Amino acid sequence: MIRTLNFQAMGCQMLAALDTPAENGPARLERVPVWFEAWEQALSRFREDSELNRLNRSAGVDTPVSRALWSVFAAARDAERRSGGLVTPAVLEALLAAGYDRSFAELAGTETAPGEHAPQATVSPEASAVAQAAASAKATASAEAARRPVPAPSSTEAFTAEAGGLSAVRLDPRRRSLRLPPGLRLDFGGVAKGWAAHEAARRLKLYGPALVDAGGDIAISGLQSGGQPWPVGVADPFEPDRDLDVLHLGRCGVATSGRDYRRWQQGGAWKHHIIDPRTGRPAETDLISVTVIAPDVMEAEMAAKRALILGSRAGLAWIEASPTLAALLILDDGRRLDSRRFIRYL
Amino acid sequence: MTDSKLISSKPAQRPKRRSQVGGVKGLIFSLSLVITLGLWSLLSKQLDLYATAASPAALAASGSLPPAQTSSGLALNLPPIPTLIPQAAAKGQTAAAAPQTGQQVAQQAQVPAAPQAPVKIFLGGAQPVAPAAAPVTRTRSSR
Repeated sequence: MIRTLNFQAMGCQMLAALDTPAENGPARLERVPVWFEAWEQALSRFREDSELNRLNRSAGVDTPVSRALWSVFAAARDAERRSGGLVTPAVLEALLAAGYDRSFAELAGTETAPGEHAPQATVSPEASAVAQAAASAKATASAEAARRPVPAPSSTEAFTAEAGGLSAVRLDPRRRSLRLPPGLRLDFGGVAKGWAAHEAARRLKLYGPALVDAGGDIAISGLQSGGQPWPVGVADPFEPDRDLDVLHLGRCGVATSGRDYRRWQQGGAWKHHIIDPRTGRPAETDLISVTVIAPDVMEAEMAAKRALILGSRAGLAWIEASPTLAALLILDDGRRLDSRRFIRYL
Repeated sequence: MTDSKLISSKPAQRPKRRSQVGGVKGLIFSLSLVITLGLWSLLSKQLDLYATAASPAALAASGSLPPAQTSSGLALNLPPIPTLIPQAAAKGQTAAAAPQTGQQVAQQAQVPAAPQAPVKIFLGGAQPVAPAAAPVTRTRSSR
């Protein structure tokens, strides 16, 4: 029997599903919002007293962090490496410069609702220009650093990285501490949601096959107990209540990155939350959304974002060259591109 | 003194051999008769020359074809050759049985499509039995 629980967390609609005949199935699911609350307290930049904001305010100081933040940082660093620097949490300055300086619900002025547009941001043009210049300079340094190979940290001594991006962060595995270089602040964004979905599904699968949907980033622990796959819809970015397709999935992760929802106007121009580190600005791309299926949800989230930033041509080529990935790309003119492996999941 | 003569056993064997040969001939004749009658019986059933006539309803129920008229007017009530009707595709298309050849009347079979679960490949998972009906959830850009 599949039991589900819907709840709000991290500014998104969440769902946890557990396939179990046990009577305590609902009680197991009730723990999921508690986990998400703890993780949000650690990872959110929109909570003043969050662990992430304390870390961001402690540049130049070795700061001990929780297991959750340490794990998310490791996942983010892995995503930065795999994406060639295109997917990185070192874009907070750029997000602030673009106007994403508060939660999206506050930015929109209303409760989160599909399809609603946000009012204009309150960032002044002068402050915006200064912040933009700083973000661009930092983005250039980050991009150059990301292109250099990142040496693997030793397990017995602290890792001193090169300047720029996450590689500039000093890690001490023994003390589980991080030291951010001056001027670097982090926003984990989609990485945090993907990690949270993955971790929640990992914990739930002790009691039966589980699916956890964290705002569209979905982790699936395995086939349902009867051997059938989990049916997962792919939302149409132009009509969010309609499914473009229904996927049939076993153990895997699926994520969608898009500029169709989290967008706002600033100075008369539309901005969105997917920052291209090469420019320090919202990515200029012909894609409106990318859905990726991967072995786990963190890789799916990284791949979806990378493909969106790259655009339809380069993004699809990169997906096709990655044997573990399958993707559906929607262009802003409504056209659809399926990678060759995508049809396996329909 | 009286000479004894060896009495030859040949005359005694002659009647025994005659009976043996006669028995063999009889056996051969009997076997031939049986085989001939058996073959005739099979042939007669195929041709249905001496079979009891069946009612049209019984013929239909047994799947026999309606008699085909030959140029000589001889009615042939031949049973149909069994055909394998392939399962239809998942899209609900109907399938037609392969038509018969020769003097038999073909019977086109229209059968409703048997829905098939499409083959799916999953990362790290076993082959599924059947997909669920409605989506449990929906992937979308973060909201």
